[in-house]
Formats: sequence, C-alpha cells, structure tokens
Amino acid sequence: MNTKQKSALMLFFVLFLLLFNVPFIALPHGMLGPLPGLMIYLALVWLVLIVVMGVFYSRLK
Amino acid sequence: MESWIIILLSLTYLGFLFLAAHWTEKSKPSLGGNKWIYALSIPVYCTAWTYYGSVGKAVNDGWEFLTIYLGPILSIPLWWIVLRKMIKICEVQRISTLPDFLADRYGKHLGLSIFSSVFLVLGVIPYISIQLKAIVNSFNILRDQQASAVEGIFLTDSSFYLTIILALFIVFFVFRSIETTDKHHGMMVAIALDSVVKLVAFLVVGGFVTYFLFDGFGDLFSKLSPAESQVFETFPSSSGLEWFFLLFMSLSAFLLLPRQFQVAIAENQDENHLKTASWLVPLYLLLINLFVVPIAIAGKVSLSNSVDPDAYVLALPLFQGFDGIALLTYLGGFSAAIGMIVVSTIALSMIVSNNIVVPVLLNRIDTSGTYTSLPLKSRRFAVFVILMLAYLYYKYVADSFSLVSIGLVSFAAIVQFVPSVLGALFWKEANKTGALRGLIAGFVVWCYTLVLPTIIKAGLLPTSILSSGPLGISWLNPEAILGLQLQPVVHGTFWSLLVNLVVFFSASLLSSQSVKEKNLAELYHGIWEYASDGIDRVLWKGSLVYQDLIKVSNKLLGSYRTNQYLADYQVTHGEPVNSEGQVEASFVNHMERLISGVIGSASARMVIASLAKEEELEMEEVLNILKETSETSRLNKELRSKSAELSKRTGELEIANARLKELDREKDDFISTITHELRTPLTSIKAFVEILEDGGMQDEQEAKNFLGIINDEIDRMTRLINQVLDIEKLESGATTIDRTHSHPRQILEESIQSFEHLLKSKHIILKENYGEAFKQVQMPIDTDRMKQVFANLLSNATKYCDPDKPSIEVMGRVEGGFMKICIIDNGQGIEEEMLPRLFEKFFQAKDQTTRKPVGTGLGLAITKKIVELHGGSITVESTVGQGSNFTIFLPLSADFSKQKETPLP
Repeated sequence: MNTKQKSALMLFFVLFLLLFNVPFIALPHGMLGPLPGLMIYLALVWLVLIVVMGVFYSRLK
Repeated sequence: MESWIIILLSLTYLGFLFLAAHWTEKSKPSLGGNKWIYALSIPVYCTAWTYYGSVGKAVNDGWEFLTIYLGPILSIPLWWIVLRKMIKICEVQRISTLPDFLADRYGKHLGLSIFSSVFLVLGVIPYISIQLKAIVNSFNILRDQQASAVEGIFLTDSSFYLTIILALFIVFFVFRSIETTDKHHGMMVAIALDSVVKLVAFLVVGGFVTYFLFDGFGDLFSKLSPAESQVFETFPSSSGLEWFFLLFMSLSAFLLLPRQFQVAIAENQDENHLKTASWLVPLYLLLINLFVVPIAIAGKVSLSNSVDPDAYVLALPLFQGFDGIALLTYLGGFSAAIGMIVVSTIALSMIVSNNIVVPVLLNRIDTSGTYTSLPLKSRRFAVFVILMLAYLYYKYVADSFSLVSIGLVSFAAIVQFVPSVLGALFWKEANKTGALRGLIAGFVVWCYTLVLPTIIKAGLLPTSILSSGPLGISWLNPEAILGLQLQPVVHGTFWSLLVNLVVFFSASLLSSQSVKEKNLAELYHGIWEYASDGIDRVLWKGSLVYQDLIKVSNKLLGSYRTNQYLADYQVTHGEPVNSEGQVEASFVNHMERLISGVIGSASARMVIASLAKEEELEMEEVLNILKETSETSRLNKELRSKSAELSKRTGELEIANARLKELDREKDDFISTITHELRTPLTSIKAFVEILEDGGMQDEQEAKNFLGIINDEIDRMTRLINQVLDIEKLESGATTIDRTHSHPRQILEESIQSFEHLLKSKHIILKENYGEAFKQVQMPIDTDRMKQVFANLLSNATKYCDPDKPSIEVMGRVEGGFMKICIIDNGQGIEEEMLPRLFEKFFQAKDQTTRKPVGTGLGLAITKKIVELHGGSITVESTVGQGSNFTIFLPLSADFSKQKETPLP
C-alpha cells in the first residue's frame, strides 16, 4: 500500500468519525416527513460508508 | 409453549451447526478459507446483546444503542493499516491470541503474558454470562409467557445443562489439533451460518412487527407522544462526550475482543478477504439494526410496563399469538448467543492454556515424559473452567443487570489493551515495562470503577460506598471520581484508560528496552519488509545440545511433526548444526516459533531458555542485522526498479521489432510486386522480339503493330521505374517541395488542358465548378508536383468513369483556411472495404482478382505523399454504382507545422 492510499484511509476515518459525532450528528432534528431526520442522516452516512469502503478496498493492491 | 418443543428446536439447531462444521472439516476444508465465510464470521460480534439488548437500550436511550455498531464500521478504514498488519505479524510469528501477540512483541515476557490473559478472562467472562442469561430468559418467556424467577443451581438448573452441552461440543469437536495456529475451518463455516440465521430471524421479526402488526415506520413513529418521540428526533448535545467514548469503546472491542481476534486475525487465510468484509460487514450491521427502533416503539406502545424491554423482540410475536414467528425469533437469539459463547470460549481457553496452565505445568512436570497431549488437555480443561465461571457469574451477578450494562463493562476491559497493542504496532520505543504497568494500572481502575459497583449493586457489598464514597471519602466514589459525573461505563473507561495511558507512556520512556525486545520491536514495526524472512531477523545467541531440542520438540509436537519441520528447515536453510557442532541460531528460532504455535510464545521462550545456555545479545549485533535488513530492503527496491525499467525497455524493443517485421514484410511485398510488374512487359517484349527475329513476320503492318506494342511495354516499364524512384525519393525525404506563390485554379486548368484530347476522344463531359474565392486565391505551392497530383486524379477519373455516359466534375473552393479541390467521376465506384487501402502502394496491383490493373498502382500513393508534403490531406468517398469523389485539402498558409495539427474541415 502506498502512502497516498494510507493517507486516503486515514482521511476517510477522520471524515466518518466527524460525521458520526457532534456537532454534525446534532444537526438533523425533528421529523422529516414521517421519519426522524436523525434516522435518515445516520442511514445515509452509513450507506455512503459502505459504498466508499467497498469501492476503495476493491482498488487496493 | 411446551418446553420439549423449545428444547428440541435448540438441540436440532446445535446438531445442524455440528453437522455443518463436521462436513466442512471432513469434506470441504477449503470452504473455511472462503472470503464470504470470513466476512460472515466477523458479525459474531453481534450477540444476544445485539438481538435482545439493543431494543432494551433503544427504549431507554434512543439512538445511543447504535454506538455499539458505529464504532465497528468506523474501524473499517483502519483495517488495511492496523488489522492487516496484525494478520501479517500473527502469520509470521505463529500467534493466535492477543496475550501471545503482546508477550511476543514485548520480549516474550511471561509476566505480561499471564497478566494480560487473566485480565482478558476476567473481562470477557461477564460477557459470556449474559449470553447464558439471554438464552435462559428467552426460553422461560417462550415457555411461560413471562420471565421466570431464577431457578436452582447446577443439577436443578436448565442453564447448567446447556453450559455442559456447549463445553462438550467445543471439547470434542473444535479442539482436535494441538496447534493453536491451525485453522478451524468447520468452526468458521458454523459461525458464518450462525450469522445468516440470526440476521434472517431478526429481519423476519422486525418486518413482521413493522409491517404486519403496524403500518410501517411512519405509523410507529406517529404512535409516540411528543415527549416519547423526542428521544428519537434529536441528539442530546449533552451526551456528545459519552457518545464519542462509546464509539471508541466499541471500535476497540470490535478489533480486540478475543472472539474478534480469533475470527478476524487468527483464522484469516488471505488478507485480501478484508476487501469483501469491508462492505459486507457494515451492510450486515446496518441490516441487523434496521428494525431495532421500530421494535422498541412497538413494544413501548403495545406491551405492558411489566415486560422487560430486553424481551420485546420475543414478546411482541408471542403475545400476539404468532408462535411460529416467536420460535424463529428465539432461534435467532439462540444462534447469536451460541456463536459468541463458542468462539469466545475457544479463544479464552487457548489463552488460559498457553499463558497460564502450560507455563505452570512445564515447571512442575517430569521432563522425561511425552507431552504432546498436554496443550490439548489443558485447553479442554480451560473450556470447562471458563464456562463454569461464566455460569456462576450469571447465577450470582449478571441476573441483576441488563444485558447492555454487563456487555459494556467487558468492552471497557478490552479498551485497556489499546495502548499496548498500538504501541506494539507503531511505536518502536514501547517496552514491556510500559505495557505491563499500563495494563495493571488500567485493570486496577477498571475493577474499582466498573466491577466494584456491580458487586455492590448485586448486594454483595454495602451500598454506602456508592452513595458517599469508601470510608465516606466522596471524591473517591467509584462512579464519580473527583466528582466527575458521567454515565458509569463512560466514567470508568475514561479514568481507567487515562491512568493506563499515562503509566504506559511514562514507564516506556523512563525504562529501557532489552536488546531482544528491540529486535522484536523492529520486526513488528517493519513487518512488511521482513515478512518473507521475518524469523531469520530475530536474533538468538547461546548454545544448546541439538538432541535436547529435538527431544523437547518430539515431546510437545510429536516425532512426526518434528521430523517434518526438520526436513523443511534442511530444504530452506541447510543443516541445523554447523561444522563446529553448534546448533544454528536460526534453527533455534524456527523451533521456538513452532513450539509457540502449540503452547504460546512466552511458554516457548521458557522452554528454550531452560534448554540453552543463552548469552546476552549485544546491541551492535542487533544494529548489524537491522542494517543488513535495511540494505537488503534497499537492494530489493533497486532491483524492483531495474526490473521495471528492463520490462519497459523490453516492451519498447518488442514494438520496434514488430515494426521492423512489418517493414520487412512491406519490402518483400514491394519487391514481389515490382518484379511481377516488370516481368509482365518483359515477357511480352521477349515474345514479340523472338517472332521478329525468326523472320516469320511477312506483313509489314503487323510488324509495325508488334513494334508499337514493344514500345508501349517499354514505356510502361519506364513509367513504373520512374514512379518507383519518385515514391522512394518522396518517402526518404530526398525530394523537397519547391513552393512558389501560384494560383491553384491556373494549375488545375493547365492539368485539365493536357487531358483535353483524351476527354474528347472518350466523349467525357467535364464540369468545372469554382467558387469566387478559389478563382482568386494564391498560395505557396510546388506547381510541378501539384500538376502531377491533379494529373493522377484526372487520369484515374478518365479511366474509371461510366463508359456510356462519362462525366467528370472538378470543384474548387476555399473553406476555413483551406483550399478544397474535388475530382468526381460517375464510374462504378469502389467497394467500401477497399477504401482504407486505396492509397497503399501497389494496392491496385494486389487487387487483380477483382479488377484488371490499368497503370502501375503507385499513382495514388505518390499523390497522397505530395499532398502531405504540402501539409494537406486527401480523402475519398465512393458509392458503388454512382462514382467516386477524391477531395484534396491544402492549407492556404505555408506554416505547415502548425496547420498539421489543425483539424481539417
């Protein structure tokens, strides 16, 4: 693994750590239609993580 | 529900797992190394806590239950950096447990190995106990429709029999090989199946509750009062620190819990399997959490307050009379608990055996015996001890607490290993003093802040300790040290980790590493450089008797394995004893590593030390070997770079060679065509000359005709030779273009004039169509060469136009900085597939099967070359039966170098 890939992985870690913590996680509040905004936010970030990790790892050598 | 149905279902499920594991071991061991099996075994992380406890937690604390799963998915970007490195180290050093990993890195220190083992066992036993609790509670709810009072103990208690059955399964099925590093293929397949079963069961019950009992997510949320809904709608900003700590705890636990270490590191057979796991594991965790909140809300709004929230998952289908769904739900919870118990017990029993039982026994037993069965027996013994301790914890303590609160205490214990593990991987200066003291300090604070309160709350110690602090000292309150008010588990983790970190760093910095430790630190730190010959980079100095080493190896590994390893060593390294009769240091290292695979690294170190007269390693020796390694690494890098350069050059040579072959083929084609073209007229000339020589020609007119033919053939040969010389000069660059400012229209008309006689004789209608700009334009042009171009094209047009209604159109335009000249005939046209080859030399000559050649076949090749030398291009469009259109584009400016890059209209 080259330094660039290592840096990218560390960046993803920090990025998702931020997205799953305050203040970002405290931003969505109230209901968004029939569902809580916080639930939609958590599900979206979770799905993004699945896709990003799947794509990134498949390209690692 | 009848008890026998639940027991039968449980036993059938266990039997199914037995069979799956047995079939894998016997018939398809390779399945255990499959990437899907690997990825699906990692969710062994999801236990009865996930299955029942998450709902209970969601009822009280909203989304906080998710931190237990968000931590693990946050760890995924770190897998390729941390987990992959640990996998490689464990593979090279034949390590299968966390205490072995730490002991090996920190100088194979026995004290560290024993302490970390005890700590892990104490930390994880409560976790196993909650699985027993979950199974028993779910069984009781299913049987009695309510949680029953705690039954008796041992023989009068059903959970005791369950514990015994599980112990027997592990003892007689899983532990078959003496080597801890051998892969447990059957177990991996069983755990992967287990993961599928618990996920499917939870999705079924979740879907049933959400879409059958209620009308979906929206309906469930609408049933909550505004106050109840608040907990799911907003994130309480006051709990940001607690949220962060819970994420950190679950992230650490996901990587370091004994069962996670077992499946993700020790059982890994290919580090690339992490790629599949990188998306499958977070997807799995998302799906298994999808219906937690809906079930929590459904339970809250439809069940009475007397029902324990941990039991909502089972109670919802059961109390609505859906026994089938309730049984499936029970099965899912049973599978979640069983998977955890089996893998954790296997991992802990290896830890206990390698790091506690075997070292103690090795000191006491008679060395003349054979002990191949000792590690196996001690592991089996450890299984019973661990499961019995978990059972007793469940009976006396766990029953008083929720699943989540006990699980989190275990997580806090695992967090204490983070500093020493990360230090082992990334900090070369970390040493055994720091690691051991840090762990002890963390353990003490963990016991004080988290274990002590559970004992007090279970009624085993006075509650005044929690209310007013020990001996009335309030700032020493185990749940509020220095008055810090946090959630108890976060509070305990904060203080224990802080103390652990401070002691770890300060002790590491204030004490020095032994040379052996430095050597191992270098190996761990630079494992990717040393992976291929890691064991040869570990230094050993001393003397021992070869026979003693073999004798011990025979005792622990058995003579068959010893001989096998010995043969392997001789193939890769040569003789294990040097010419002076000394045992090679690398052989000692190899044997120590092999013994480590059976009894752990600290015990193996003890065995070797007892056999040998070891000498202190000199720092210089370590530095030399590190220098040598660094030099080897540099040379390897250089070699790789040179190899890449060589490959590049080889590629270039291959391309050049292919081009040369192509040129050679073209040359052969050229010679073959030329000789053919010359031979045809020569044969004709020779035949006519022979007739004339024989004097058989009486008719003077006929003789004249013959001489005329001879003359024509000589002209044809001369023309051919001239054109060959012409194209050779054009291609070699010997011909230069002599440009003068001229009117292209004038050149074109002069060319047409030279064809006037031919046009008239063939009755060809010529249409000239020139634009105004074309009539006026002047441009730098080689007049003679351009006449040659026009003549070639007009000559072709006259040859191939329609014989019945022959017509030729000549057009001239100026368009976008280019002069455009078209010469269009109305002949038979050219088939589309021939167009790309039309400007090749002798194309016409090569195409004799479809059309009789007229001319040399070099005209268009010469035309194209001349146009290109003017910086222009020539194209052809043709439709069969309608004629052909040859178009020339020439740049009006003489700056050809620039215009060549300009796209032509």
